[in-house]
Formats: sequence, C-alpha cells, structure tokens
Amino acid sequence: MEGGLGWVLAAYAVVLAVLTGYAGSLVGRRRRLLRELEAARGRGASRPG
Amino acid sequence: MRFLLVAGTTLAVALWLIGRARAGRDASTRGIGLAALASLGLWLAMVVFYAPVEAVQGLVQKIFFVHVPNVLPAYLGFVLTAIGGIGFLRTRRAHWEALAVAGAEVGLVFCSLILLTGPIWAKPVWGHWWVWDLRLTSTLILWFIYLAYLFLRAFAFGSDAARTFSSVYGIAGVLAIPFVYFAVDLARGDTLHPVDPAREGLPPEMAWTITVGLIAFALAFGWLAARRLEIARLEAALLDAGDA
Repeated sequence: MEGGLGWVLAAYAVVLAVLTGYAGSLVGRRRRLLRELEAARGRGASRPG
Repeated sequence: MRFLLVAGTTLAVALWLIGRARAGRDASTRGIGLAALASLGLWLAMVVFYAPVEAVQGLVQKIFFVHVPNVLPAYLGFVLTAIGGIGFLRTRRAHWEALAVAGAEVGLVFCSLILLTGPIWAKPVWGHWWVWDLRLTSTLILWFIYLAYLFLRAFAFGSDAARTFSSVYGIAGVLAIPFVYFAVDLARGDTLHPVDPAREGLPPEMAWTITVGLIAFALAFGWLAARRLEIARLEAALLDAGDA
C-alpha cells in the first residue's frame, strides 16, 4: 500500500483487536464467575444444617 | 515535565492497584475506565492529526506510537508480580497472590503486543520480520518467563510449596527487566533496534504524542488489571463457597 499505510493500519488493528478481545474476555469471565458464585451460594443455603 | 506526567501516572496506577488488592474489595473501575478511553481517543487523534510524518521512514514511523506505549504496562505488570510475591511471602495473604497473577497476566498481554507490533514495523524498515539481536531476543525471553509463571500458577494451584515457589519465581523474573531495557546499550552497536527515544530526543509534537500514548496505555493497564484482580477474588470466593 502507498507509503506504508497498510503496515500502520495492521499494527494499530492488532493492538485494538488484542486489547478489546482481552477486555471482553475479562468481562465475560467476571459474569460467568458471578453466576457460578450465586449458584454455589444458593446450593449452600439450601443444604440442611 | 513529560517524564513527570508519565512517571506520576504510572506510580498512581501502581499504588491504586496495590491499594485495591490490599483492601480486598472491588470499588468501581468506571473512573479509570473512562480516563483510559478518553486518553486513548486523544492519543489516536494526536497520532493521526498532530504528530508529523517522519522524513526518513515516512508513514511507517507512526507504528512507533503504538509499539512503544506497550513497554511501560508490560514492565509495570511484572513489577506488580514481584510486589505481590514479596507481599505473599511476608504475609501468606491471598490478595497478594491475586495482585501477582493480575500483574503477570495483563503484563504478558502488553508484552505480546510489543512482540507483535515490533515485527510489523521491522519488516518495512529493516526488511526482516525478526532479527536475533539482544533487545528482541531478551524481550522474547521476558515473555517466556511470564508465560511460564502463569502456567506454574495454573498447574500448581492450591499447593503451599508451589505458591511459595511461584512467588519467588515472580520476584526473580523482574530482574530480567533492566537487562531488557539496557539491551541496546549492552549490544554496543551490534543491534538494529534504536535506543530509548526519550534519551535520543524527539521533536515536541512526537514527544507529546508518545507521552499521551504512554499515559493512555498505563491507564488501560490499570483498568484491565483491576478487572483481573476482581476475577481472582471471585475465583477464591467460589472455592470458599464450594468448600462451605
């Protein structure tokens, strides 16, 4: 691409993709853990004794 | 002035994360998240509209502004791993381990970005994706050190001896950072990698753009590491709930 614009766009796209992908994975892991924690506490509360 | 802004932000992010880890609770990350987004937007606008096109490399030199800002969060993450390791060895409290793991994982993400953006810049400028010189090789070794650390943590989960060992490993790993940073000086000219641009001197427009980039990436690191800390705490709570 003219003047190296392709290289520049590739570098910025890689950083954007990795950071947003990682941030998204953290948000997803947090939601899943919150759901699992709620379920585990629910099981604990319903256990006799 | 620029150095103080970057150093102050980095120190503030580090102290904020240590404070969060020690407090053992998860206050809102909205403030740092918004600050990170605003500064990332400003940085990107400065890269496109403010920083001039360099005379020798041309447009490709703009990769500099997205390559260099990854260095500080990577080093900061690994330093927090060492601080977390020291804290854990002294107190045996789990929140220090959470800080150590968060620092290593988020630091490794930024270290990966150094290793990904470097070759994209190197290919059009040097003609090679990769050369085995001291700076590039030592950065790759640093990446492997912390990848191994995360594997160690994952596989040695729960064992007290393994927790001690991984804490010591995390403290020892940080000793590689000065070697990586000064690798260009140690190579005594036998390297294609340029020295730290801050030491070389940059035109003011480029210097301010890279300053804003360093601040923006430090803030983004803070947000990501805070989220990772929260996940470590939730994992521990889930284990406790399962044991109860």
